[in-house]
Amino acid sequence: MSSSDTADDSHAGRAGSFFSASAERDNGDGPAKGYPVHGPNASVEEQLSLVLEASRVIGWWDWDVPNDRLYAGRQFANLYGVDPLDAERGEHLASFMEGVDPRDRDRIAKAVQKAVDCCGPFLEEYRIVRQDHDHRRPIWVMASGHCYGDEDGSAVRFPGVIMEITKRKTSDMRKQALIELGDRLRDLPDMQCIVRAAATILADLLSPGRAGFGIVDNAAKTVFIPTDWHRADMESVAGTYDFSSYGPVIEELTADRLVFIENVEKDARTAGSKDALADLGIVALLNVPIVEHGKLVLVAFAHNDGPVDWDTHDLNFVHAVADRVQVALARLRAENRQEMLNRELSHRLKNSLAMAQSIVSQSLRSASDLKTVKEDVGRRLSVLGRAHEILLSGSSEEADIAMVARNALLPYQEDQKRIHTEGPRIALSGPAALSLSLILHELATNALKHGSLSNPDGHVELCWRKEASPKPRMILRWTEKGGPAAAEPTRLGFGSRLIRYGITGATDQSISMDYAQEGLVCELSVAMAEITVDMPADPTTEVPAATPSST
Amino acid sequence: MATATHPSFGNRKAVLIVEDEPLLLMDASDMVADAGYEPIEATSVSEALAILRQRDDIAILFTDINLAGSSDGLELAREVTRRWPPIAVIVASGRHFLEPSALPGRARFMAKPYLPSDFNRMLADLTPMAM
Repeated sequence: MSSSDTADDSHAGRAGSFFSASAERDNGDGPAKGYPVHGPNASVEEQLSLVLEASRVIGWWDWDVPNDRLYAGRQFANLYGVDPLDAERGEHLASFMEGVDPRDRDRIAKAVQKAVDCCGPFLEEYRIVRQDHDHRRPIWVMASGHCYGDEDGSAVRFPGVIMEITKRKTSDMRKQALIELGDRLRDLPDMQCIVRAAATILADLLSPGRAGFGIVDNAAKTVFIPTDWHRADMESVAGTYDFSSYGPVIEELTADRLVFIENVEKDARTAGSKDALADLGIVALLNVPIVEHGKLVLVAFAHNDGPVDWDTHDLNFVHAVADRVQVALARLRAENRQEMLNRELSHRLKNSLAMAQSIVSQSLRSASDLKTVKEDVGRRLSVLGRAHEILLSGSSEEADIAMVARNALLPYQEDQKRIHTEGPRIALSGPAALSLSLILHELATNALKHGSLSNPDGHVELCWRKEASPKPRMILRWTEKGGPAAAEPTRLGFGSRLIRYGITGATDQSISMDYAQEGLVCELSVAMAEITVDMPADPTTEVPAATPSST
Repeated sequence: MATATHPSFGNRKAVLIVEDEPLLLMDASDMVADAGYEPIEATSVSEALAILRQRDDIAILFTDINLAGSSDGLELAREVTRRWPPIAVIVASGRHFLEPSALPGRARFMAKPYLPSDFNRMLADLTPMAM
C-alpha cells in the first residue's frame, strides 16, 4: 500500500510523518480539526490518510526508525488509548508497546525486531489492554506493515495499518474453544478436572472476575460448585449452596431461563441478596441453566465486579460450554457406574467359582463313588445356577422367597407335588437367596434318601412367617410327615453341615433340628434385616440400630 | 457353630477360619484339617474375637475381608496383630487385591478362589513364624 518513492522521500531525514497528518493541525476550530487537508491541493498521502481515518476501521502508523518517532492517526491512537494529538506529534515505540497485552508483548516485540532486522513485512494479531477498559475483554487487532531500509540495509521507515478484529477473533476463539473443549472433556478423568477446564475456557473468552459450574441436586435442593476459576483479586465460591440462597433467580433457572443481570444492585431479582452478592464482589451476574428432561441439572455462571460487555454470542457460548460439561459429567457418571458394575461382576464371578469349587470338593469328600459325585455336583450346581437366574431376572438384586423355594425344590416336584409351600412375600437379598436355595435343596435330598420323601405316602410342609417383635424375624419351618422316624446322622455330611451354618451372612439366626418320631422338623429363625435388601430410609418405619448380636 | 475342640493338640495347633459363606468355610475347614491343624470356624468378627479371648492355642488366623456385620476382616487382622502378636495372619479376598504394605504387621494375602495347594503352601510358610 505504499510506494517505494514515498519511502525514499522520508529517509532523507525529514521528521514529518508518512501521511503528514499533523500539517494542518492548528488550522482552526471546526470539526475537521486535526485531520489532513482535503481538496485538490492535498497530496496523495494526505488523501490516503483521510480515507483511512474516514473508514473509522483502519488506523495507520509510520515509524521513523532511526529517530524512534512513531506517528499515528486518530484511529490508531484511539485503539491504544493514546491522545491523538500526541500520536500526531510522534511518540517513542515503547509507549505504544506498553499498550500491547502482556501476554502478547514479547511475541510482538520479537516480530517488530525481525521486520526491522530484515527490512521485511510485519503481520500480527494481538491484544491491546487499555486503562479505561479495566477488567473487560482485551481488544484484538490485526496489524500489517513493512519496514523499509536504505542501500546499506538499515531500517529507516516502518509504516503500516491496524484494524480492530475483536469480534472476528472472539468468534473464532469461541469456535476453537468449543472444539478443543470437546476433545479435552472426552479424556478428563474426574469432575474437578472437567469443571476446571471448562471454567478456564469461560474465563479466557469472557474475562470475568469468576466463572464456573454448579451441579444441581434436585432432591436436596442444593447447587454444588466443585471448583471455579477466579481472578487473583476475587475469592472462590466453591461449595454447596441452598436453592434459597439464589432468591427468585432459581425459579428462572428451573424454568430454563437464562439470567443475565448487568448490575445486581439495580435488579429486582437480586435486590434481596445484594449484600451477600456484594460480599462476593459480584456486580454483573450471568447464570445459564442446563435443563434435562424438565429438570435443572447444571448452572454455568460468570461474575464480574464491574461492567461487562457480554453479548448474545457470549451467552450462547456459555450455554454451549455448559452443554458439553453436562455431557462430560453424564459420561463420567456412566463410566463410574460401569466400572463399579464390572468390579461387582468380577467379584461375583470369583465368588461363584469359589462356591462351585467348594461344592465339587465337598461332594468328592462325602460321596462313595464317581457316579454319585457326578450327580451330586450336577444337582447342586444347577440349584445355584437357577438361584442366580432368579436374582438376575428382576430389576433389583432380590428374589421372592416363594420363587426361591420353588426353584430349589423343582427336581423333587416333577411327578407329583409332595412339598407344600406357604408363606407371605419376602424379598430376599442375593446372598440369602443363594444360601436358602442350597439349604432347601439339601433338606429335600436328605428327605428323599432318608426322610418322608423316601416313602411314597410321605410329604413335606414348608412354611414361613414374619414375626414382628422384638425385632422383625423370619421363621421358616421344614416339617416332614408320613415317613420313617427321623434319626440324627452319625456323621455330618455336606448337607447337614450346610444346613447347620444357616443363611450366609446372617449373624443373628438360630437353626434347630428336631429328629422326631413323625419325621424331621427343621426350624430356621433369622433377623429379617439380615436376609432382605437394605431399603432406603423410610420415615414411616422404625429402623433398628445396626448392631447385630452375635450367635 | 459345631466345632470339636481337642485341647490335647498341644500349644497353638489351631487355625481360626473366619468366613461368612458356609460353602467356603466348610471347604477351608477341611483344608486346614487335611493339613494337620485343628480348624475353628467363625462366621463374623465378633464371633472370632470371642473365640480368641477364650483360647490360647490358635496358631493362625485365616480371615475373609468382606464379612457380614459391623466390622470387616481387615479390622480383625489389625486387632489380632496388635493384641495377639504370636498369631500369624492370612487375609483372603476375591474383591480386593492387597499388597503386603496394605496389610497389618506380617500378614499375608491370599486371593480367592484358592486351591488346597495354595493353602498348604501358605500354611507351611507361616508355621515356623507362628511357633
